[in-house]
Amino acid sequence: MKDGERFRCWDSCMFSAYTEMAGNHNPRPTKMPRVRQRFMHKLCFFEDRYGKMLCVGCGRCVEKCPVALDITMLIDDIQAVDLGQALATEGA
Amino acid sequence: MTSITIDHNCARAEVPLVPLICKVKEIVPQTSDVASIRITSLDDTKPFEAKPGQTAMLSVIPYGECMFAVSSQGADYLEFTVKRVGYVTEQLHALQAGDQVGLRGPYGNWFPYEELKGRDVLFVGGGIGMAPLRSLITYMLDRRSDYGRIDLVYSGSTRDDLVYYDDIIENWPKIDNMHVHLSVYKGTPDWAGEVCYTAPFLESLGIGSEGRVVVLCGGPSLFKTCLQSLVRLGFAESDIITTLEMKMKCGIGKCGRCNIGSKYICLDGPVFTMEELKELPGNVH
Ligand code: FES
Repeated sequence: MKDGERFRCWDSCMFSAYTEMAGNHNPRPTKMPRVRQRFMHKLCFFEDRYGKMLCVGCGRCVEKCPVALDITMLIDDIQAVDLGQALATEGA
Repeated sequence: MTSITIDHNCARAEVPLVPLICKVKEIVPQTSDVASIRITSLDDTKPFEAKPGQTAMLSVIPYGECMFAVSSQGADYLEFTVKRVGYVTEQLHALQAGDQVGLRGPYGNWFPYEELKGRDVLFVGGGIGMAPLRSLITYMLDRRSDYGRIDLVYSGSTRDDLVYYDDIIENWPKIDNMHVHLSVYKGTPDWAGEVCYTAPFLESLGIGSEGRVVVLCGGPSLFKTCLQSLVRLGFAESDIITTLEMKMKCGIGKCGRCNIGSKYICLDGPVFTMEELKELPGNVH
């Protein structure tokens, strides 16, 4: 091909279309699995797989979040949750 | 800063994200919405070697790219069997021989064809689930004496939705020690065979689990029901092999689209045993 145009657009793992497949199946259909993926991927999944964390600790996401969704608070909250009980309720 | 190295199988290791420009050699229609698209490189050679079960990213310029299982291979082409379900597959079906496409891969792991040597293998599939299964079936048939008895349990919505019709009706049943069991969900006057869902059909065949390995691929409901049937038939979870699908973009474990927990389907999959899947968080399918 001789000509082309570079097209860039925003994308985010928080969008439903990020994982939605043709035929409408979506493995992360609601906000819950998407938020979970965002934090877990950053702090846990990627580290498991590659031995490095995806967070560099710059604090920009905390500072700039339009709805004040603070990742550090969220992780603290999660840590405070009784895992056994949470799983039991999820399964119910 | 230390860099992160990613082990992937892409044929062009140094530029795994840059598509190789290839062309369509031939399009073989299979059903009203499924076609097999054969891709060869611009100089009429095979773009790369893929092991059975591996996937590759096929792009229709400028519409987009999608990951597909390499369903079979010839001396100078790779074949992708594609169902028309979305934007890109629509464009793929509209291609003609000679049209240029982009291709990168192969990605992911493969069916354990070495470990399967000498064993009896039962394939269970539905509809377009035949595409990844076929890569292993043709591999095994090319080396027929290395493998034991082959059973194929395959279903489609109607007679007209069975892909590779000639093979499953004409060619494969004639092969020594290969047994093909077909069913459809909705009978039509031109179908003389079974009308039955896959799981009860599978259970009715009396295929024992003794020394046998299952390779399973189908939609979510087939997957679920057949899995229950296989467990009832006594198959161990380590002897049930399946291949997953996910939306993929990079193919090399970067974008985080295809991962289930810390397993990336594009690198660590798509082939898993049921035993491995059990370890993954959340529900698969
Ligand atoms: S496709 Fe991007 S991580 Fe697998």
